[in-house]
Amino acid sequence: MSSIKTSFLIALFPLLWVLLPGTVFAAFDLITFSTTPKTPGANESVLVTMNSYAVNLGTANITWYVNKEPIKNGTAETSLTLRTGDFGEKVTIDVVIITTEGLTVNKQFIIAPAEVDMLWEAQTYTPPFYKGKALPTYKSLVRVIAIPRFNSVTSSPAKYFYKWTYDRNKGAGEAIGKNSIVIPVGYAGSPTLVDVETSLPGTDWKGAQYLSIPVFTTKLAFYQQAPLLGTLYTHALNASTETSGVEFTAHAVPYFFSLNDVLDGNILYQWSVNKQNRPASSDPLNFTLVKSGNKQESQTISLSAQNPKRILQSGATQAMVSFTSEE
Amino acid sequence: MDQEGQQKKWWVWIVLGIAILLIIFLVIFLTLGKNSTITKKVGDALPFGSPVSDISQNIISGDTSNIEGVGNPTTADLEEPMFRQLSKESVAGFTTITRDGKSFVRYILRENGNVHEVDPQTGIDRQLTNTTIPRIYEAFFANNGNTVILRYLRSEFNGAVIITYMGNLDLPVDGESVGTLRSSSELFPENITAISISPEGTHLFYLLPVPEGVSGTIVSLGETLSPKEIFRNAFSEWLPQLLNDGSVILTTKPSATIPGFSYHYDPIKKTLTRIVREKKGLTTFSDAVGGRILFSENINDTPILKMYVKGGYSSEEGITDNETSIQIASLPEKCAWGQSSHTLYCGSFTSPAGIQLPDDWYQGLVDLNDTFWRVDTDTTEISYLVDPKKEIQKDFDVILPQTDTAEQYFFFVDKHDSSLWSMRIPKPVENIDADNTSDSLQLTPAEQKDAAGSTPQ
Repeated sequence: MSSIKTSFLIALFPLLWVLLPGTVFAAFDLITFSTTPKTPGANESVLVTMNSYAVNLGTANITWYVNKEPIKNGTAETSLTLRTGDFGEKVTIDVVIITTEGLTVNKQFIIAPAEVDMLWEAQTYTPPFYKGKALPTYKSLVRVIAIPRFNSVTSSPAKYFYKWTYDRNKGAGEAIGKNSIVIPVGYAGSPTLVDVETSLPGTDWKGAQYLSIPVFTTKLAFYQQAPLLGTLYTHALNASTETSGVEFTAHAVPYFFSLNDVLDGNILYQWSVNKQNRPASSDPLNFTLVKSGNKQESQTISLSAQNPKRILQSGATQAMVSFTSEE
Repeated sequence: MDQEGQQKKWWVWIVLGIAILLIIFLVIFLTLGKNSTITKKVGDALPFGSPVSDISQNIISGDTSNIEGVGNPTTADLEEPMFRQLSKESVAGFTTITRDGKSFVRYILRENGNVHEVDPQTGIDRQLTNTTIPRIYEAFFANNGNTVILRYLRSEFNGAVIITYMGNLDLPVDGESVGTLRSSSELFPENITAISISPEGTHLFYLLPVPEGVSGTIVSLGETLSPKEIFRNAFSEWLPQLLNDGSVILTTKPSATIPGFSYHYDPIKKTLTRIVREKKGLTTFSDAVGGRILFSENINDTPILKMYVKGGYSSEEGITDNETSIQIASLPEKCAWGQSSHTLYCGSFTSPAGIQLPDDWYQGLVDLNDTFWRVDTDTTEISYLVDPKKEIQKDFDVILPQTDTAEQYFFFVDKHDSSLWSMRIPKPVENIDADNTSDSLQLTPAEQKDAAGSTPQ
């Protein structure tokens, strides 16, 4: 019975292919392959497994060829472990299956690993000329970019197909040329996972990558706003700073607050001097301390900041400024 | 007999008197006429060296006999201080130029954008321009020091706008009076995020944010500027380095715990070739042609220098490896290539515990104190040069390092106060004195201890 069913399907198959090419071929494929991992990378150990609902592989004699070299032969040998080559090197797997009924089926499977680099950039604030990375913070937006390649260079990322997922099961879109997405991240200490699957339509090249985006906390820092030199970003004000002048302007940097909220003026700042709240100036990030008398004195300047739109984006800092002149 | 003795005594007194007069004459001669040619010639002939130039007001000289690990100092070593402060004011950028076979340093003052030139051998400083552009944050030189690119901020209601200005030095022919900066007719767009000048100083590459990511433009710095967009990418946080052939090293901005990537971009083929991947705290610094690329990777919270070699190293097992370690703790931005990429000079520090590099350093939350090292990049052998703390009782936090074409000096800005300094590069031991070369390249126990403190445990 089984033999008749198999013979019938094998005979029917070319006919179906002629009548309904493409999708029907896949749907009625007699023998399918799967790999672990699902999308193998370069120089990686891969388990290739063969399945069939139409052919009794459990009794068939199976011979595996890798790049035309016979590798394995035996009854019910339905899987093979192999190692992929470098990027740009395809691995061609041919399998010859001889059933107990004497039917011979040839199958070919190609592993063509495409490599995917995943880069990300948080849309959070850093000061001008800052050479470090903007870090994601509570509910900030992050742009994730995939750079796929099937050899050592990347030339046309727009030609690839991309399928994006984040937080394990939330779809973030799929399309040819969609090589970037913008997603929100969660709480500090709770990383956001992002997956991308890519393929180059019309070829065997496939790739996949995943990424864990860490979430940090916001930070406030003070710098001296020098009249002639501008903001001295090279030195944050520490616990105690001395000045021989009668005025001292502190400039605050709200590191890693959401960029749009900083630029749109959504952040609430509260300045205080010697624990007395003070109204902010027209530039909420600058505050000028003025020496009050003729003797040496110290003033403690404090700032707290909060983003009401992303309530856990907040911070506070303080510094003591000593006026050393006596005049 | 008594008369004969009396005569001898007289002769002794006469000779002594003449000798004393000669000594007094020489002392007066050398003190008052230091700069005359005759004085110099006489000084050279004397066994106690040349007279010291008057231009020593801002010279900080150390005890050169105290240098460890560099062999015996040469005559030149003894004449010049190991470290010299070239500018007391804050410097926004500088370059080295060579004129008549001699090295000079041109620098830009941060407070007013004035260009100065200083002779590192004497410390003599000359103001070249008086065009005032205040509060310069970044400055670059191109065209052999005759073009400047200044970057500053313009305040606007919702923040600051980055302005990029280009000007050419308009210097009077007399070589003495002060010149001006002649503005380039070509204006650069606002808010350029990063700039890189090619090592030959003939081209400039900049990155500009665009809605879909970032755009990269190359500009030929000839008589007429010809900007040409050569790069577009959805990712915008790149730090670029333009190479002499017009290609660009693009490295993702670093953070201590975030894996970074670096690529080589070919503007003709429009291809990105990956150089290094997934290195925490990654920053890079290539030689002029992209053959050797220095990079740092955080390992156990310490930035370790490594080098990517395009051609690769062949190991005994026949495997080609492109990466090798350089056993000092440093960041690529603390290193300068020598005139060939065989040699590298670096400031190296011991990481304070519990800090995140390079983030905390970029944010001005920590200072790093450097010792100075030479690296033979063919062998990755390191040589200790000097510890400024021992030499002149001063700490340096090296940024913007460069060497001159003769590789006599290592110039840098001290991040502590943005002042400009030179370090005289001690000659390699084998070139100094054949009799003193034995074991000189070996590190002393004290140096090994220093080195151990700078490398991962």
